[in-house]
Amino acid sequence: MNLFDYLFNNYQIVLQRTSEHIIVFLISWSASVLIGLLIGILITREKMQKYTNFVLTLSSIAQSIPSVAIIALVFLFFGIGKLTAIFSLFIYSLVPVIFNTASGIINIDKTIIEVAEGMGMSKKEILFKVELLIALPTIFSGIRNSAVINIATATVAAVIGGGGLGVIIFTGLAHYNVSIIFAGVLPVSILAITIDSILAILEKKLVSKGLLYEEGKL
Amino acid sequence: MNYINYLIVNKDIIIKELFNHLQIILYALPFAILIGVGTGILISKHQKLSKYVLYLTSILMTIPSPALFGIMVIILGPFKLGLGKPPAIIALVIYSLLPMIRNTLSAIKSISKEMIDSAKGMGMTEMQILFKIKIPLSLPIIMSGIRNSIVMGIGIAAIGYYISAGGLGYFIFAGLSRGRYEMIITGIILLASLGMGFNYLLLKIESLLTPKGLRFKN
Amino acid sequence: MPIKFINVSKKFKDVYAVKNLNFEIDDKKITVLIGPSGCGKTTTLKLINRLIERTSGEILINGLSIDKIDKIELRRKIGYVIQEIGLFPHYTVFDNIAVVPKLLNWPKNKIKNRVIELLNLVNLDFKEVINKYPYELSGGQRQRVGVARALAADPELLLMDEPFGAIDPINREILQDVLLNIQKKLKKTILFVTHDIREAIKLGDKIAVFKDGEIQQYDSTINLIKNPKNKFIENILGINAKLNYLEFVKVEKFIEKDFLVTNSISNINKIEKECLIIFTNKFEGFVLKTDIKKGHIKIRNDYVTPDQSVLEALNIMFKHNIHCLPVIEKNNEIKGIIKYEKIILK
Ligand SMILES: Nc1ncnc2c1ncn2[C@@H]1O[C@H](COP(=O)(O)OP(=O)(O)O)[C@@H](O)[C@H]1O
Ligand SMILES: [Mg+2]
Repeated sequence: MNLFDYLFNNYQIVLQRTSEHIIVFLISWSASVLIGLLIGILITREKMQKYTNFVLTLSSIAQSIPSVAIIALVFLFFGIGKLTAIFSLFIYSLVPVIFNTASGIINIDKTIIEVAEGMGMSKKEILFKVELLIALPTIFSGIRNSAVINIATATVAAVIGGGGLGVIIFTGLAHYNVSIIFAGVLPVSILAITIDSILAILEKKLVSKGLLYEEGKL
Repeated sequence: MNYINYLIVNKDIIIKELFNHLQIILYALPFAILIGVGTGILISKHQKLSKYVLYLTSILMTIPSPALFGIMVIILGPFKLGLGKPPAIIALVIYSLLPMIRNTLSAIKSISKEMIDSAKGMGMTEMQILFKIKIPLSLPIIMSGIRNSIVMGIGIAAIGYYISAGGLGYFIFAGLSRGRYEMIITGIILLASLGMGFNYLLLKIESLLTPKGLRFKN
Repeated sequence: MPIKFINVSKKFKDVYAVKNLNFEIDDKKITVLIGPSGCGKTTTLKLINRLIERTSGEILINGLSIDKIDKIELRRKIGYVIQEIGLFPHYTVFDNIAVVPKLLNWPKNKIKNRVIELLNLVNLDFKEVINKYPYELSGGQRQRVGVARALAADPELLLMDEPFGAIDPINREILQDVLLNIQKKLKKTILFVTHDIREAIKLGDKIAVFKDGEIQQYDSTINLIKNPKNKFIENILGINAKLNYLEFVKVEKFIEKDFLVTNSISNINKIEKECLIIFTNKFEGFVLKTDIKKGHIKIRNDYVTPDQSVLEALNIMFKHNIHCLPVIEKNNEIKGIIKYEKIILK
């Protein structure tokens, strides 16, 4: 039996599962990036700063819970189906975005913020021109992490009806059929690496060169 | 009440699978630490090599864990090792190697050249520099790499169920396919507490191992 | 922009950071706040740009309460420089300096010209630094950019909180000179915090000495040195204050007109004034009253320029055992003379 057999003979199935995987990923991940950024920003506003550490601790605990457990938990409440899968992926990949956005912002040197205030920047200007831009490397690593975690977890989410390439992999594992396993493993690995590379390029474009040497106080 | 009944009836199998799960992780760990940290230290001497290895590990780490399990089955298949604990352990070793090599490399890289030079200037040998300066100073970062690997490993080992390695994945995956909620709940509770528990424990060890001078409030 | 503090106090919890401040900061002058750490200097500064809100009292800028001005608008009119500099690490030198002009929506061209002008003002080669990021600059260069940034929108008021405190002594001196030069050209109202008395004497037109949140003495620099009000001020001044003063104060502050000019000394046997300056189309020398003895005239060639320090003038006087010197501008213009007895502090 040849490794590529299943892949070649059933390429329509593989393509269909791949596009399923991509769609589930894109929906859940973009939601977690948007909402994660929003929450990360909200909890670092002046009035909310009492809760920043609480949320950071909470999300670092959440990150230590295996994704399988989260998926099963969401299943308990919402049953089987695509929406359940998307929701559990959204929850799980939300955490790194919140964590990195918030920690990136609160770790900015306080004097820089104070100078920005002293120069007459409004709260909004400080957020968009100073805080987010300086925290961008950290935020980006959260977003990339979130994408990679999402794609991996989406594979597992096949077991609660998420569809995608996980279906192929688990079928292959269940039948101990190397050719089927491979037909799922190859595209999902390529997908993960591609998405991460695209984000890496985007990061390089968007992050200021001035932040590359952030060691040493400025 | 039903659930407690379930626990009492099934306590043997619960304990057995918990043991299986821990076994996979604890077998994999020493190898991963030894090989990972060792490789990290060895290649940290070579600038170019470190760069390539860092790059390679970051790519490998984006491969979803179920896919990696699949790859293991594929690779180990011809050796009649495709099912059971060994491939699960080997997959875990390989997956945990990545964050460990990464963190070790970047930890050693972050030690300032001046400090190494002044150690040389004081007449320390290469070995003394390694054990008295490089390792103690990189320990916190290396430890956080170890913690990440273990926490990740707890989740990954759950997939072991699919290749007959046993472990807590049984409760979740078998529970899902049989629609047995009490199994799923058991799986969630055990996996989540294992993840959070190990994370907490290792954080404590981390802070104990951190040289006093490097401790600072986060 | 003159600033007036009326009974201003700031309490953190129950402790006064500053208490009952009553003083006026002169328009277009450098006022220095000095005092030990924790005495309330930074608080005083931040009360003005409202980074800290006062507990009681009133602060007037140009006679107008600072509460009557929108906080953001107020700050855009005030330059702010701190010891940690706080350059934005993600911005180039250009973007750092352009922050406030951009907030004010200046046209692109105007901003660019302004940045170049400012870099020249702080003695930085704009071609070399304009596209660099803060991490690529030395500490001294960074603070020059910090000063340029504060001046960007041409604020009338500059608040400087120990701006040169973290810079090595040699570069600190240079930056102080840069600041004095800027002040000569631009005439801003500057409030300058330092804990270095040498710096205070060098830069300050007036000095306010703080202790425990209160002003101990507020006076012109020369008066403070001449008449320290108490032991605390004397200690702050230290033993070198007078010498420092002479070192930093320029000859131009002591110019007098007690002299005559001639273009020939051929038939002179008596001088009506202290000093006779010989001047054709350039400075040729001078003769003192006491230099004419039995028809013999001694001609001297020494002089000082207005921007030399008084200490340098004194040195020349001591060397030649004379009590006055002509003050000549570099372009050979007679400014006047400087006399020993006017300089010496009792
Ligand atoms: N945000 C704050 N909260 C509480 N106390 C403060 C705060 N800022 C300053 N203080 C206190 O106010 C006093 C004056 O501080 P500051 O103005 O910074 O002094 P200086 O700049 O002269 O060193 C000090 O005792 C300081 O501890
Ligand atoms: Mg201060």
